[in-house]
Amino acid sequence: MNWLLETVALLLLVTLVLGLIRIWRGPTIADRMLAAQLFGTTGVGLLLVLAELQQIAALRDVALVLALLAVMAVLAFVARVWRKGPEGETEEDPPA
Amino acid sequence: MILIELLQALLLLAGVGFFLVGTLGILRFPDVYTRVHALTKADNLGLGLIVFGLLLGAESVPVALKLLLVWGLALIASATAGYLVARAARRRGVRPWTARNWENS
Amino acid sequence: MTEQRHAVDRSSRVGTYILRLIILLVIWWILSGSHSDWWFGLPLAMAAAAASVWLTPPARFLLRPHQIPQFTGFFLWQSLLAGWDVARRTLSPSLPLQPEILRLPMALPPGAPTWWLMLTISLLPGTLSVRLDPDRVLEVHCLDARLDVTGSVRETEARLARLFGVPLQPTEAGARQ
Repeated sequence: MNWLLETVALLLLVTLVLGLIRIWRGPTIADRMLAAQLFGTTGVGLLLVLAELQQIAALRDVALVLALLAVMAVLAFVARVWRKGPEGETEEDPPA
Repeated sequence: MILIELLQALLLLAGVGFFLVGTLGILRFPDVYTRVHALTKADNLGLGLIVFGLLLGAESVPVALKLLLVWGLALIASATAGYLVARAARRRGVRPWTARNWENS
Repeated sequence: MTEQRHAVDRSSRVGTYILRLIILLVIWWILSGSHSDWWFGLPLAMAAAAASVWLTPPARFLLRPHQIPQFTGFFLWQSLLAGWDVARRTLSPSLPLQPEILRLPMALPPGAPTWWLMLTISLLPGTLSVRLDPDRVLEVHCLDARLDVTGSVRETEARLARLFGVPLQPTEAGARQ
């Protein structure tokens, strides 16, 4: 079973590295932010697999926190960095 | 027992496959909106499959529920984040890529 | 578009408090594992439930428990289809995409049901919520305009209406570009 979990963890690392290409190429800052979100989801998967592989239960809690933090990063980015648009309409916001 | 392990292996590998596809989609798709599609759908399914794969080998009920909790949280998080990025792009006036553009150029 | 805002009375606050307390205690049990420290978790959950009732008033829309399994099944199956759809398009050399933005009037009441719809369709095959106009028209970005996007959004809407037990408001049928 361990070789399988190791393979899975390794492949997840590969997707992280491939995601770096999108950060490098851009073109807009939002594309780079998407790659950051990708890191969040992939990181969560990686941590869950590592928790099983190395029998460290605490890593599942780390995964939980990472899932929360990844969305916080996107939220902060949208609210602060990328806010000013051509139109300033107000609308209903989703639960965040 | 061997059957469960086989199913587990299948789920885990399929999960990684969808992660790879999601990343590939982010690299190949033409604009922000389509990349959000690739990211939210493929990665959530990938994480879901990995979670269900690990679930089969979970040692206790709280651990299994914690895995599901992580997945649910990640689902809500990435759906919200995808929507926020798409909305911000739309407000900024980022034009969606269309198939016609591509034919003309 | 009637805001069906109930007067929040004391009894509904107590009910909400108890419901949220139970949910928080379950989460504490999940987080802390088999040897839970209840002397710490119980006061924490009580304080958190109190804070949540204070910050977020009792929900106007409640899920109907007997509908949850059906909706979960629908959701899981659709996520599978969505992932498969994206995978097919990504791996195909010609990259078969025909994105378009559709404008669909909302039939669900504002508040939680609408948010659920927006989040759910972002995870369904080929659709992504982009923006909700003040006049309750949702902009949906779809990966392939050749698919029946309107139909699948309407189906999700009907299922959510059943999940929440709310009526659908009649809208002008079809998409307006």
